Amino acid sequence: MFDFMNNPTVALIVATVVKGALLIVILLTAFAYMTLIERRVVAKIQGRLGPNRAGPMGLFQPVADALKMMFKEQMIPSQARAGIYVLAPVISVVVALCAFAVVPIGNNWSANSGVHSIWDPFIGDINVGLLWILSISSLSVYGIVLGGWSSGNRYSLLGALRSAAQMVSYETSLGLALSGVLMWAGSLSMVTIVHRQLDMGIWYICAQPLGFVIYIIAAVAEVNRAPFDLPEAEQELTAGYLTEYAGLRWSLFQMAEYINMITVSAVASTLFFGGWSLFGLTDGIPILSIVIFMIKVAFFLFLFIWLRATLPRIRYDRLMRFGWQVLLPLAALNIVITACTVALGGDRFWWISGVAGLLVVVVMLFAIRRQGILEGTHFSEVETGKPVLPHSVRLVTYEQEPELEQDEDSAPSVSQPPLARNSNTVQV
Amino acid sequence: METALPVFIYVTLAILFGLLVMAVTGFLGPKKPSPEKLAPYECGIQEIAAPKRRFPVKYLLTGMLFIAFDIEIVSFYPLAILLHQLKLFGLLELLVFMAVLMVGYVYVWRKGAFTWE
Repeated sequence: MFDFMNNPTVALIVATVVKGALLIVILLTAFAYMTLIERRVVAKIQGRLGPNRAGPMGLFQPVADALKMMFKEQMIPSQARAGIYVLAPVISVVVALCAFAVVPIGNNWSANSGVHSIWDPFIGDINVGLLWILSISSLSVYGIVLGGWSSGNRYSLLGALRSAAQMVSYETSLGLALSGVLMWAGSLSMVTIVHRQLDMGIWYICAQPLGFVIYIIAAVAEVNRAPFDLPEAEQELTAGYLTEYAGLRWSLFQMAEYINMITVSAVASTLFFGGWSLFGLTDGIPILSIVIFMIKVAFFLFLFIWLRATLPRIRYDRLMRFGWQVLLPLAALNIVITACTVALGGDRFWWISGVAGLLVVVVMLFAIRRQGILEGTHFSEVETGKPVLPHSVRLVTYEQEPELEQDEDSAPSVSQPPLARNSNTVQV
Repeated sequence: METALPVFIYVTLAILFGLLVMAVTGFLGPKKPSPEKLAPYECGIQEIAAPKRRFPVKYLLTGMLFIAFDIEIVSFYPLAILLHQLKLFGLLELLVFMAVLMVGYVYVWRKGAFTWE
């Protein structure tokens, strides 16, 4: 019955189609339940209940949401460029799905790095795996920009522009932070990187703490999540590039965002946390490796939700300054440290770059607390000495506050000009 | 080719999925357009003027900076991978590369390209 499986190429194609379809279904299910988990967790953190009506513990909420979204009216705004407007969400989600192709979800079924089968739990082990992920995920900016630009709405356009500038700014730091891992691994293939970590006996987080911190910050910015969710800053831009979208097209954008989150978490666990390995626990039981990998990814996904519930949104000019003037030099420093250790020491001296990286992280934290690196925004002071907000965040022309000397008794708290807190000095 | 084929098949699957959803969106749901509904969202008021399809040059500048730096980073990857074998020569090469990159970086910083006003 399965005679056609004897031809290796046909067997490969069949196996890939099955695995690919399975992976897409898994990613979509993960997206659906991620929305539920996120709403529940954020609700718990904020002391609310969250969606708990549809089914036990609200477990059917994603199904209800999906059905509702599917039967919403789909329209094309009169000012939109119809073709691109329809295509943009699809680009987003296709790109997000594609990036996952090279991530090893578990160990080889034979649990032996030399023996490969077509049913191994990853789609393809190409020798430029990491480069594939980086290049594909930088394509995701196209979906957002085209969607925002084609909507014919000023909020969408602004959101799209912000998103583009933000994503490209943090992508440089992201790429540099990952090259530290490449130096240790000596390969771009994700499968090889995991096996190299097994050979060295450490997770690369031990050798690359600084790289990991930079990667995780840049990754949050890459997927436009809080506290870097400027493209969707609802107080300023309604919903950013999503403003004119509704129904299934809107869900496609959301789907892309969540799948990107999953991809970023999977890359973080693969590169820095040993992928599917856990202290030799998976030897001989390949199925356990998949479970371990999923737990690691789930931890990072929880981190994303935690961050969103905890941190306030960063202002746009500070966001750009942080990306270019803090993260990028730190990533360069990380590379120099790692390169010195790898070239002069070798595998046995991984702890040198680990300790040095950790030192830089600690110094960095103290510097941010003491010096207020995030605070040092420059404001153009006109001759009158009146503080002026940057153009990038200014919405209305700011008029001089009326003097309130007479009313000091009635309203003492108002006498302070509201923008006085935006001075360059920081009180510690 | 043997290793890249699965990835291409998977990409095809993803594109098929996207097209399927795009096709489905056209059929499901009611269709009752009206001029008010199709007007661009403007917080409930009538739009005064169409959005200018122009944007601050700052964004373009950021894009150009990105191209410059990202290409440097990508051309840096092969060196990073081969560092195990290149040892000291690779390290010196990398430091020279980094120094050149940093000269450009400091220049751009001093020119104020990273300061958003």
